Order: sequence, then structure tokens, then C-alpha cells
Amino acid sequence: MQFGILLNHQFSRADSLAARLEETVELVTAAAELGLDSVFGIHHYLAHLQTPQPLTLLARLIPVSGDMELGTGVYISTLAHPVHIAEEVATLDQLSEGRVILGVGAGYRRDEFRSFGVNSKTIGRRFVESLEVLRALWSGRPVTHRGEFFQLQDQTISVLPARPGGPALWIGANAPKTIRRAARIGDAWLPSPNVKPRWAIGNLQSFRREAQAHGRLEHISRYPILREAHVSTSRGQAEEAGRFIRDEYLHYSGYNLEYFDSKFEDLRRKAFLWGSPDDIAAGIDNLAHGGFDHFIFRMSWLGMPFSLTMSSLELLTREVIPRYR
Amino acid sequence: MKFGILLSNQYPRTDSLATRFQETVELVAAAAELGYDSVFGVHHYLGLLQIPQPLTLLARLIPEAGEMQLGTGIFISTLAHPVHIAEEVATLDQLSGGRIILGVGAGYRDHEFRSFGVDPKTVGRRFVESLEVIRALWSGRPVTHRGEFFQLQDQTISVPPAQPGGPPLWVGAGVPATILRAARIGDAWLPSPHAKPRWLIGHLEMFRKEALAHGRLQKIRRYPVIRETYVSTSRTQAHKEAGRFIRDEYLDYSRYLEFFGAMFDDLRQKAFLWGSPDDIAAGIDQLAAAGFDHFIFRMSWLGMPFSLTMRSLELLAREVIPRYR
Repeated sequence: MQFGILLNHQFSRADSLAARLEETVELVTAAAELGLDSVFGIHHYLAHLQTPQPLTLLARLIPVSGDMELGTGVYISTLAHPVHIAEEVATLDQLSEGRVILGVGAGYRRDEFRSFGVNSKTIGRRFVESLEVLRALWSGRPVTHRGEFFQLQDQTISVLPARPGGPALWIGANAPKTIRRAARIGDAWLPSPNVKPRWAIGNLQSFRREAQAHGRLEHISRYPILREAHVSTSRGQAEEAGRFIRDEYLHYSGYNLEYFDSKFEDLRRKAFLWGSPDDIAAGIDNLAHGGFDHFIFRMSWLGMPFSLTMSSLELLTREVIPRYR
Repeated sequence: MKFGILLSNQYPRTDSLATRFQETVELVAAAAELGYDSVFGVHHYLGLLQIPQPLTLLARLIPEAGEMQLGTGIFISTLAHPVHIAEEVATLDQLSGGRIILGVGAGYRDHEFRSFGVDPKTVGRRFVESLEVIRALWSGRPVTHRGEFFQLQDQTISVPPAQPGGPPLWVGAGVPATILRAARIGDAWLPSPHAKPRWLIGHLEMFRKEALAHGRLQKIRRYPVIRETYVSTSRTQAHKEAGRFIRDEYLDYSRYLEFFGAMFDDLRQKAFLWGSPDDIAAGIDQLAAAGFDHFIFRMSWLGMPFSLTMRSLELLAREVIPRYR
């Protein structure tokens, strides 16, 4: 069983980014010392919030991240050329001595597709073809590829990833169809922080069935899941962080995800890992029983004081994680 | 007068990249301690050599770089979307506390253009338009842009750079037409390491005249130049120690541009800063008298032992740079 954190590096426009980035370095240093296994970043372009790019941020964090794996949850892989992504991520993998996991998603924000001149109707096909090119380049062999979107003639990547074959590709997916696609092309499925346990467990079964049907089940060695988590002394006391996550979800509803606005109360009760160490452990047990084995916790939201995130992280690592070690 | 180093982050395929990275970290830490002002990286995709991506590499080097400026010399800006470049470089600028210089070039290798699906005939226009979009985004204001290659409708960058208006854009250019263009659109002209002094001095005059004609001369604050440099006890000794490594490097370039093979001996005699501390200082003086004021030294080439580079770096810092401080 592995445990990591998802850095929520999207900050209000009024925030000092320099101060937030200093805290991020401190948080990752603490996470490594407290024995967490992984740290992940998020990815957007042209966002309403200040959202530093994750690959550059992860590169900066390498020296303070100990032996933790460094990943994206998720990187939007449909907006940059796969040669560029392959070279950048291979460089990061080499710099970190093979600690990189590339979580990828097709994206959903219309502003991003339009600004990059990408036709949103082609996104699914572009996503699949791009991963194919990435993997081919990461093999280190010369690649000739004639696809719908990308053409390569006998080209070899400049930088071989440190891990043979390249970093694991974890696929973010939120609908039955894209979850089945993840089973056919991914090294793992990475469910969102805001899906309910029953839904996650049910869809994990269909993910596994699809992987098995395509002879890929043995290939899938990790079952990660992202969770919103706040640990305090009790469920009542955990409400100290309630308003920050509420603001965060209110912000998402500005991206045509009104869903989050109307469902927030339901998510809060069923999807978030929230409360005392016992409450958190019960939530982990439920998902672990369903097959998930790498829990990645997001522990800060819009405007939340850094000290509150740090105390939650410390409680998690002292009172919860040791139960699984 | 400023002095920096250009990392030659391109290595034979047989080299251990992990070892080269350790040396790079050590070299940059030493350069910061020795009082150098800047460190730059090079950029290519799908090269015959192992060429780690410079933005990711520079992000990793931030903690060791002290107060040095971090730059590219150069980044090929025609192969990625300007929104992507603007966001990545702004992130790097924030992470480094505003120490970034973005040296850019249009590129010249056919296989790069072809692999990225970029028509080489459009590269000049693409280069100019891309810098326009990057600068507009770095203003932090909403950008609407209707260009030949890029379209944005009321979009704002996620991460405003730490330097108001964004990092300086130094434009790499090697022929009169592109040098004139650099004077019209750049914050500085960044000449190649293999340009000869007389040619450099003549073209700097031309660059200044063009900038003046366009009312931009006051905007140009830096006059950087990259030099191939090796410091030893004498010119003969310098060639004995390091000559074959730079010859191998230029042999690799000649696979892309024939010119480099044929001209090597001429370049060696006239363009390289090579020899005793007095020889180096004489070369610096000649260029400084003409107006160059930021010398960026490349001090290692294909297969050169790290200890030779370190010794040359130290000699330069102890015996040459103090003459200008």
C-alpha cells in the first residue's frame, strides 16, 4: 500500500506566488521526511487561478523530494506535441533517477482546446495517438509513425528515460467509455478525487474486466486513486477546513461543471476522506478492499492556511499510514 | 560587465546521463560560488546526441544556482505553442525569483521541423508571431490575438512572470536579415559561439543602427556574446588539453550544417577564446571595446573530462574575471 500527496498548485490571483511556491517546497520536504511515497502536480493553461506548470515545478522539487515518486495527476497530453512531451518527461525521469509517473488526461476545458487550435471533436483520437508516439519514442528505438495527427520518419528521442520503456502512464478517466479505454492503453487508471467510493469500486471492476479481455491485466501493477482528505481530531473538528474545499468546488462550477455545485454536499459526505484518523482509515479500508493500493491525497484548497495543511499531513502520517505498514 | 557559462548539455549516446547530471549540478554550484553571473542551456529535439531539455534542467538547477541568472542559449521557439512556452517560462521565472533570460531561435534542423509538422518556409513568420504572443501573455493582461498561426480570444496567462513584462527575450541570429529582425523584436541579440570577432563587431554596429532606426535602442540593455573558451597556461597547452573535444563537437554539428567541418581550423584560430589568462583577456577586451558586455563561455565539449572543465572554470574566475570587477 502506497500513500502520496497531490499538490494543489492553483492559487487565487491575489496570492503571492513566491510565498505559495516556498510553502510547496516546505510541504514536499516534510512529505519526504514523513515517509510518503509520492508527490503529484496538476496541469492547466490559461486558468483563472495561478497554476504553475507541473513538469517545471516537479523538476525544482527533485532535490527536496527524497525517494518519492514524482507524478502528474493529470497532465493534459493533447495540447503539446508528443515529441516535446516525450523529451521533457524523459529529461525529468533522468534528473530524478527514474522516479517519474506521467498521469495523463485528454482535457475538458474549451478555452484550452480553442487557444491551442485543437478541434475538440478530435481529442479522443489525438489522445490515443499521442500516447502511442510517446511510448514508441520512450523505447529508445528509431520511430517511424504515420498517424492522423503526427508523422515521424526514423526519429530517435534525444534522452532515453531512466526507467526502461519510460515512466508509467496513468490515465485519468471519468466515464465508463474512457475508463475502458484506459484499460486498453494505460499502465493504470487514475480516478478523480471527487468520485464516490461505490462508483470507483464498481468502475475498477469494469476496468479490470476490460484489461483482462485485452490480455493486459498482468500489465497493470498499480491501482491508484486521488482523494480529497483532511485529518483532524474528530469529524466535527475537521470542519475547520470545510470552507476552503467548498470555495475550490465553487470555482470548478465556473468551468461549466455546475455538477460540482449541486452535488457538493453529497460529495462531501461520501467522497471526501474527512475526519479523525479512524474516519480516514475506514475510508481507506473501504477502497483498499475494492482493490485500490496507492492513495494520493489532496490536502489543501483555495485560501487554506499552510499550517492547517501541515497539521493534517502530520496527523495522516503519524496516525493513519502506520496502520498499513 | 557580466560573465556566465553555457552548459553544453549534449552528450554522446554512450555516456551515463546520470553521471553527466551530477557533474552539471556540481559545475553550476561551483560557478555560483566563483561569482559567475549566469548559466545557460542548449536546446534540441530528436538529436543524435543525448540532449536533456533545458527548461526542465534549469528548474532542477535553481537551488544550486544562487543568484545567477538562468537562461537558454537558445530555446527553439517555433516548435511548441507560444501559450505553452509562455506558461512554462513564467513558472520557471517564479520558481527562480525572477532570474530567467529566454534566449530564442527559429531553429535550423530539417528533421525537427518535419517531425513537429512545421513547414520550414513559414518558420520566420511563425517565430515573429510566437514572440508577439508570448510577450502579450507575459503582460498579464487578457490577450486577443488573430494571427496567421495562433488565435486567442480574451485569454490570460495562468502564471504572471516574476519579472514585470516577463523575462528578457534574447534573439539568436546568425545572418544579416535575422540580425536586423532581432533588432526590431528582441531585447538583445545573442550571437553564436562560432562567430568571428570582426564579423561580430561589424554586425553589432548594424544591429544597433537598426534598433535606433526603429526607436528601440534604449530598450536594448544587454549585449551578450557566447564564446568557446578554454583557459590553461598557454595557447599551445590549451589546444593540447582540450582541442580534440571541441573538434569532435564541431564534427557532430557538421552532420547538420556542412559549414562547421570545413571552417573548423579558421574558427579555432579566430573565434575561440583559447589560451592563457592573458590570451582570454585580450579576446574579451577586443569584444568589450566594441560594446559586448555579457560574456557566456562554453567550457566543455563532447567527451571532455569534467576535471578539465572545472580547472578552466576556476582559472577563468580567479585569473581573468577579477580584471573587470
